[in-house]
Amino acid sequence: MKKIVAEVIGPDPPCVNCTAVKRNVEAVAKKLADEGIEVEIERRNIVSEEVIQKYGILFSPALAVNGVVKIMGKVPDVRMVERLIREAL
Amino acid sequence: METKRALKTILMLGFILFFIVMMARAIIGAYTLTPKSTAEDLRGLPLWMIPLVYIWDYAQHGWLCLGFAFAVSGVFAEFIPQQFMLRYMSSGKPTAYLIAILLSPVFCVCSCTMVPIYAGLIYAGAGIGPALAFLYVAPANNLLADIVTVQVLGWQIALADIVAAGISAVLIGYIVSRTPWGRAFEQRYSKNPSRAASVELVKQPIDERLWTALKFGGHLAKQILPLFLIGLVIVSYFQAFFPEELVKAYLTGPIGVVLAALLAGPLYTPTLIEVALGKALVTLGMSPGATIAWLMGQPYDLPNSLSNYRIVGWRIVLIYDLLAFAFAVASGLIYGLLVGGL
Repeated sequence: MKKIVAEVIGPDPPCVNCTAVKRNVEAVAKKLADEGIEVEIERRNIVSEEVIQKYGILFSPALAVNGVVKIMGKVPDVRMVERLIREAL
Repeated sequence: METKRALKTILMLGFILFFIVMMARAIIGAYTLTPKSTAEDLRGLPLWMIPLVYIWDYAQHGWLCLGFAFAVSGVFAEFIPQQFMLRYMSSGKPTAYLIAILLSPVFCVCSCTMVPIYAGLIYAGAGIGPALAFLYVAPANNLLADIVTVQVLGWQIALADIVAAGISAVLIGYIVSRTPWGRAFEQRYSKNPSRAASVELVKQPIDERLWTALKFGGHLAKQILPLFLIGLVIVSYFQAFFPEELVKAYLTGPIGVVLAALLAGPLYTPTLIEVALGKALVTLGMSPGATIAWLMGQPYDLPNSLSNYRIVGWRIVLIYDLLAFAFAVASGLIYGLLVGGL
């Protein structure tokens, strides 16, 4: 079983856009689970010291796959999320 | 596949160009997009019809301006060089201020984008000056608000507002960073080395990016328009029934500038509604100087101050709010005396 870590990074409490990103990632995770790919979804607070140490300042919402920020400042659609996760495999 | 992509790109570019060309025509033709209803027009109508007539008045003239604003905001949000902007804004050099006031207005339309960048700048050790300048100028000068201000209140007021907000942002940021509290606060966060390695944004083909841009414009419209409509309903009654004598007595002259700045602060309204309400007040007799103070009275509203307080503490918020108020009054007075009248 292959494992991918997807981090949805946004403000806390989450705004509309981050919730949308998370929903799209969840949809992809569900789809890929059938192929034996596990997508672990984590939510990160964009203004935490931890995130700023790791990634620097980001536009919200951001999506990182396996520790690399791939998207920021916009909501990727399901197709885009799937492509990003497959590329990281 | 390739032709389909090209076709899609051309269609979307055409859609955006349509708004740009129509808007340019409207400006060149001096065709006004401003609502024309006066208090007299509205007062004669049955109660339920007042908002309908007022909104229709806005819609008739405003659809083009709003369509243009949403399309262009979407395009900017998508095509703005994000990493370039963040790199320079967090550099800690004087150019950080310049980037903050020149670039931040074109993308910031939502406080959930703005506050994280503000906090990020501070935590990353970029200095409280540029961070505050950004916090001040991003909502005050955002593109959507600017376009609507030009159309509703006229280019003179809009230009004065934009310039005054830009200058105030830099000065306020700089002054706060020079105070003992500002210095003490800055020392808590040292500059971090760059971590560009963990950010590799994906590149998308142009048609997908244009589509994202338009979708974002539509998303903005969906978020803002319902609020704007509710705001207009309230403004329409306000315009119809608010006593003109009160506005003429209290929102003119030097006192009027101070009162307008005071009123605009705690009154938390989305920028577009603030502009519409400003228009209603101007029709009722508010002076140009007071209008500027009114428009600049946004940075120190309550929700803004609260979220700021959580990040920098009450001392800095207090100085920031007081300075913002002082600059709103000063800009109103200067504009009133030199250009528009008090």
